[in-house]
Amino acid sequence: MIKFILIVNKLGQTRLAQYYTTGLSINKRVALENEITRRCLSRKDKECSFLEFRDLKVIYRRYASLFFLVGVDEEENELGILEFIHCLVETLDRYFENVCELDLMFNIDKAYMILDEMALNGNIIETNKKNIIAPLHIIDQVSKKLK
Amino acid sequence: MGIMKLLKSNLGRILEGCELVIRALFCELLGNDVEFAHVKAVNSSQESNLFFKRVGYLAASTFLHSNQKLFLLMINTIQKDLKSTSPIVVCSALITITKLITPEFIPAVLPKVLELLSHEDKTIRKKAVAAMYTFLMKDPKSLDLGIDDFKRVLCDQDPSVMGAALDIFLLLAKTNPRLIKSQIPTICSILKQVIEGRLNKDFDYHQIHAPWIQIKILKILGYLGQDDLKASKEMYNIIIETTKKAEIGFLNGITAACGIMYECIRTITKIYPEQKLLNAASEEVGKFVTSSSNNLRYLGITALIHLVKAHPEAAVKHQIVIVECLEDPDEALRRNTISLLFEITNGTNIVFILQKMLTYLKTVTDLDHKKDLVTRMVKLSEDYAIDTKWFVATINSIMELAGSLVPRDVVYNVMRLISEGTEDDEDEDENEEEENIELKKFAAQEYAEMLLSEQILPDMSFRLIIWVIGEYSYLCKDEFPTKDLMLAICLLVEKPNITDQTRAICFTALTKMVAQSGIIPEEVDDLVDKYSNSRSTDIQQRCYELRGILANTDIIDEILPPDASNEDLDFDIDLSFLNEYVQNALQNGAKPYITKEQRIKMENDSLLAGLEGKKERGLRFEAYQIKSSVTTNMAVNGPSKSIYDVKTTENVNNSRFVNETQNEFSLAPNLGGSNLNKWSTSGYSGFQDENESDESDNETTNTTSTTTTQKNTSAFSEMTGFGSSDINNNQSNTNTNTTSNNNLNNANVVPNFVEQPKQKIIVPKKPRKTKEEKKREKVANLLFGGEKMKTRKKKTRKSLNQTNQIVKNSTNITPKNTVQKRKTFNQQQQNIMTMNKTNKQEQFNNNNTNTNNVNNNNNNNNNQDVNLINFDMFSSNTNTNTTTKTSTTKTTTNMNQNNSQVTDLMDIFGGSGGMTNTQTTNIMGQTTNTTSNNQNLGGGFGSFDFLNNQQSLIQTHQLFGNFNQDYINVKSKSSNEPAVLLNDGTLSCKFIKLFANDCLIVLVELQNITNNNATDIAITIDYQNAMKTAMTTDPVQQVLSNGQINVSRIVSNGKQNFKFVMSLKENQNTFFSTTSINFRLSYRDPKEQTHFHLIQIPINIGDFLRPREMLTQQFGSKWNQTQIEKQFNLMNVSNIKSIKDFVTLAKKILHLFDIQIIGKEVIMCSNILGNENFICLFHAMITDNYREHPSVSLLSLKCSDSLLNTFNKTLETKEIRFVKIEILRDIIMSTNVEYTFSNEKNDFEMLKLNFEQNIPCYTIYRLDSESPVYGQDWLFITYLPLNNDPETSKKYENNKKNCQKQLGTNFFHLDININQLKDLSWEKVDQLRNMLQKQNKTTQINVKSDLQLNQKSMKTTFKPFMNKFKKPNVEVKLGEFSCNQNLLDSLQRLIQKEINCVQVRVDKTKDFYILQSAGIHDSIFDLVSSIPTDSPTLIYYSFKHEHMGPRESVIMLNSVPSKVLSNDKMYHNTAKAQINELSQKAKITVQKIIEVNNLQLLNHDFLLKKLYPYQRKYIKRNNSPRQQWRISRTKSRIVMRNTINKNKN
Repeated sequence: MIKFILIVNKLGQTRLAQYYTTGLSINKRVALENEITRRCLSRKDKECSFLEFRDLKVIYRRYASLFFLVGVDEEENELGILEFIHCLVETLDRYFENVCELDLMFNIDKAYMILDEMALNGNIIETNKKNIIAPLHIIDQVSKKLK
Repeated sequence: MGIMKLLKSNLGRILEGCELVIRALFCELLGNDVEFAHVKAVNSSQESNLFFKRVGYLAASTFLHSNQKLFLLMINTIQKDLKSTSPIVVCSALITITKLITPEFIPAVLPKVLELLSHEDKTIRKKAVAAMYTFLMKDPKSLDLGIDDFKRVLCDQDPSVMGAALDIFLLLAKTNPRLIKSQIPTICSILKQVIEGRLNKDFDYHQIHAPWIQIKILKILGYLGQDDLKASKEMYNIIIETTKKAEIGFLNGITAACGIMYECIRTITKIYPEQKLLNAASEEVGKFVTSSSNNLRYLGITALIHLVKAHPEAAVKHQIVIVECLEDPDEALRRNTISLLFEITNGTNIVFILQKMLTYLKTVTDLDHKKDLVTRMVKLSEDYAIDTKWFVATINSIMELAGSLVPRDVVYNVMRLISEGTEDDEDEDENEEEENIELKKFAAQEYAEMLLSEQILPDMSFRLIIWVIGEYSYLCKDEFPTKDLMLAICLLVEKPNITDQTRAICFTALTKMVAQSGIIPEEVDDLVDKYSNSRSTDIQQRCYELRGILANTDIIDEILPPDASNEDLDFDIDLSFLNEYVQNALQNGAKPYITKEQRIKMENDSLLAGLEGKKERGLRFEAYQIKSSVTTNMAVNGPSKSIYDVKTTENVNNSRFVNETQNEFSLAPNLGGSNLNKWSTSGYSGFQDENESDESDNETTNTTSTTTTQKNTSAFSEMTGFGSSDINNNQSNTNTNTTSNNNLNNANVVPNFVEQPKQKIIVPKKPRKTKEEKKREKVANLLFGGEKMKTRKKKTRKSLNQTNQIVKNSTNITPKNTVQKRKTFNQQQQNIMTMNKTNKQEQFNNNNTNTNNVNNNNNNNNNQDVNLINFDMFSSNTNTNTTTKTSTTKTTTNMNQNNSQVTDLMDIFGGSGGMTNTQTTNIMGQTTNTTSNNQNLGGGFGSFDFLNNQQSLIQTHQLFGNFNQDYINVKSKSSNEPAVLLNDGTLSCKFIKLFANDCLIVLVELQNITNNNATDIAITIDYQNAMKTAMTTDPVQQVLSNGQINVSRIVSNGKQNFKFVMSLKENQNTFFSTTSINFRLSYRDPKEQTHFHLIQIPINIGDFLRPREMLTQQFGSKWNQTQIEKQFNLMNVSNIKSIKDFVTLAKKILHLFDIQIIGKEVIMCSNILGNENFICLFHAMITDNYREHPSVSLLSLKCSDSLLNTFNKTLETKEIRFVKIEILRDIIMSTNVEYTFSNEKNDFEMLKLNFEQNIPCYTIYRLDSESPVYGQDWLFITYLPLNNDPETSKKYENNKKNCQKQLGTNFFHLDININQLKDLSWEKVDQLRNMLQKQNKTTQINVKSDLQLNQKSMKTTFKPFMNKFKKPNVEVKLGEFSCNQNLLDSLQRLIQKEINCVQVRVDKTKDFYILQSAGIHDSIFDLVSSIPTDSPTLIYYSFKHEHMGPRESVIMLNSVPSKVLSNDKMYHNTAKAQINELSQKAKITVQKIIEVNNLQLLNHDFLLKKLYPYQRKYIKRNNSPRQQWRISRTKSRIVMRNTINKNKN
């Protein structure tokens, strides 16, 4: 089961954070993110994309200036998650067309919505890009009308 | 912060609000608290605009994550939105549900979500499924759904909905796999569709078909196949297929394919192991670990960790890679590899691996990880330690590196190990002794070095070091002079970084060292001075102790003997050493200690008293009268004891105190405060009046009866001719009763004065005494010969003489009485009954009477009590055993259980409340009496009385013949309504059966219906032969040795009840021979007419059966092992319409546990009265031969064989003389077993008594002569009385061979058939034997083992569980020996864990290993019973390490029973030496060969002990080392204090 999904830039600033466990206070959350980010950033490219952190496994992948981190429990398939990250990036890319850090910053709501379509309860529920993006387009149309 | 301000100021505007909420979301993301925006987000979710709503939900679900209070505001909106027509709105609501719902809100949305599961929009369906998952996860109870509901979503036409449904299945597979086991084919077919690419192309990801769905399914399969062979078999094929498909992608370097393959490996290792799959997995793992990508290598190692658990060889193939990974710069990889090392550690590589880990440990910085490592390292070194020295050294080095992380227990364990040393084998005592000393010396040196090097170590290490040095430094004083070490310790004490606790330990160590060496360096002296004023009281105290020792050097050896740390200490929890002190204090006028409850009571009383203005109570302000001289103790004792500061003799104190409380209680109902004065001034006077007035009626009778019983007892002892020793025994029994009563009394009243284990007689000192006290003491002296009553049971023997005197004395005091024995009994009975009727308070008095006994002989209660005790004794007149302590406690607890049941029943019967009360308290109060009573009953019947009951009523009772009738009975039972046995207008008699776990309790209630009392009621129980020993009765009604219960005066006016309880205990002979409990009831009605009734309480077999939980597999193996079988054909049982009916019926009547219903068959199981060894297995089948009445047509019953067990015992022990066998209910059962008393001829006379006139039986009888094959000759006697009914005789004739076969065909060459008892003569037997012995010289007897028979019968009996593995037998040559292919096959199955035990026998004529048996044994006990006791056997046994998860290792047991002939033994040993060849051929690694000579010793612990001699210490004791340590400390302190006191005085 996925415990959290994080997107941070290489300065360690959080760009997106989705937790699937409840009850984490903001301070604790920030501390946790800092700690994990610090560890990920210190790793070299050739080293493996997994690291054990307390009782969690963190699977991370780097895309240009952005790090995608996913914390999972013991039973989750590491490679499956690694590919899920890639799938997420591909979906973001298709929606934003050449996604970059700024896209996420200015459309954080959309990024969250994409994530919500793909994973719920810490489970991957949808990886079909068409299905993921379809509801977003509807919402976009509505918000365009508003403006 | 600028943004924040902007946010706050602009929140009001709606249109921008949405934009602002998004900003707030961003701020929160960056770690700022935006609580002010939370409500705004909630508001936004209530907007009608789609976009606002979505954003609102989104923000709310993020914000409210940590603050769920506001969710309450959203629930209404969510409910509304779920009904929306817009899919986006519904989806938003569902997403929010998955994130925020709490269990209490689930019911609010559940119905709608369920509805949405079949919504036409697939997105909504998908989200609804996800919401269902949330519900299931957060509160599984809220959903009451069957498998069909889940199956519906699983089979959804849309792949993404199905994918979401798989999550639910994964959750179920984890939490409730049983529910979805039936869905394995469906799940497998989904996987097949996926890998064949039949899903929409959109679901492909990098040419792999829906990889995440594949992974999910594999995970589910892994959970479902776990430990389930059947389920696993269904999935083997699909897993292989998936692996193959994934492999193609893997070779192309597609990560998703690698993921699937990795999941395949994990699934393979998780499900029931299959060799082919494991091999494939092992190969795949090879591809992972040799990959250039670190990710794959990492996963390869992880996969290996899983794989080695099921397939240990897998790691060997990749050892080079593993070593490489261990040195890889990548930290994550290294860490994972270390985890792998933990898994592959064994006895041979432990040294190397721990070395590696120690180096790794140095590099680790992460604290969590380090802690985990240390724990695992310690565990490994415990499990696999090569020797103790190494173990100690390893723990030392671990402690040096990470001392603070070493668990405390380990440190204590090391201490214990050092102090106890190794004691693996009993026969190497001398070497061991040396080894142990060596070890201690080694440890002392090691630690001395560590101490002197002045390293900075963690606190825990210091404690260990200091302790060892304190204990054993004298062993190495040549290398390290004690003085140096002491100085080093002194330095350590002064260090700032150690805790006070460690400091305290330092002082104890110093004390020990001073004791050992006798030198006291100045530094130590100074230090003690300094720390005598330490802030820590513990240290202070220890300093004083040290001082005390220094001042009294002569007592050092007594307090601190060298090397005595592991000696057991008696710990005085009662603080008895203070008693004298307390007495003194009391004597000098201090008030006795009063417990809290009593204080409360007293306060109430004083309130009452205050109302009448008589006497005030409260703190005492004036000084105590005389201060004692013991003030010097105070320094050591601390100030807390000053409460006991005044002296009195304990005796007086006790009695006075008891009187106080007695008054308390007797006063309570009177509400009279006036009496209070009486005792508070004189301490006594009020009491006598009270009791005298109460019980003056009984006084005279009581006194007389006491005397008579006393007299009778001694008279009887003389009569029976047991000699003086027996009298003594009997009397010590009395004494036990007395003392224990006294115990009870003390425990009830003055808990802190409970007497102490080793206290000697306390001779009261000579302070002033009142006249009364003196008088009392005189009486006490007369009664008890100066002996204090307060002695423990241990002491009773020593005080026999005194007790003797007691009896004499008491006989002297009271006038002689020559009432007949019988009459005395009635009187006693009356007494008892009166006691029953007295109310609770008086009951309490009764408990206390023993003290009065000492003080006041005139007291009535006293007499009553003595009566009771003597009465017990009398009823036990045949018993020559004194009760031992352990058995006493055991029975006591039993009785207590019964008591509670009794109370329960009382409620059921609706008996009068007062009565209930009395009876229970009565029982409680007299537990000790009861105990001895029970004891006596058992003993008495066993040895003395079994000749009396010739007329036992054994009826062949068809088990199911009267099915319907039984049903009615049970029905009434189950509704807890007593069944009426008798109602003749005067008395009614009802009974009820209660099914306790380990006994059957029959409760009989007698009730007077009319207002006129029936008198002289007597009940006599007709015991059936076998029932006697198994029966106990309610303690209140004393049962005489001939089963008579006298109930003289129980039923009084109107509705009062009388109950007696009989419980039938587990006793194998009972079950099949008992068909009813019979008793005779006689009474006299008011018209003085005597009535007799014979009352029968039916007992069914089901009454003895108790459900036993079992799995189908266990059942199968048990079924095969069990021999006796009976098939019943039951036609026309109209109650049974279906198998379910049958099951419910069987559960109700027979108390069976239904294991499984398979179609029209059912298997069920039970054991007899909770005895695990005595198992009944049932198999029933329904057939529809009759259309209208489908009926049970076949019922097979198996029962673990008491007969065979008994006989095996006879073979092994030679203790048993004969076994009587009868066919009861068509089951061959042993009904009576007699043990050897004298020689064969004399015992033969006893045998004759065993036959019952008209009842046929078989009997086997052991002769003293030796037989060439088995140790003994056995005689098989078939007794068929002439006047028996022909059918039964025929049955016996037909079953004779059968019976012999069950016992082992060739035992009985001496076969005698008799028709009349007089035919049986010893001469005949002798003749027969002589004849046979001549024959024997010429014939060789071929022995068939029981086991082979076993296997034969198993094949014929039960098809569903029959062994299917059959292959043509090919001979395989292995070195000198050879074996059949089937043996190798079995061993192969052993490796694959299909079975866990293979027994091998050696054929001596052909040098051949023969497969004797192979199968699954649930427990080691199972295994033991299947090992032949007459021939040597080699057993491969896959031993499951309970403490180590799923790991198993194959060990070999070599069983050579002692009775095997020596040349056979030799031959067997050669075969054993060659067995390696066989193991190699079968590729089995045998971890250890364990020799077993005595099968009785063989158990799990024995194996563990053999396998892990070092870890045993961990297992062996439960009490924590720390506690022991404390105790030893306390003891030394106490001894010291006492000695110091003595010296001072």
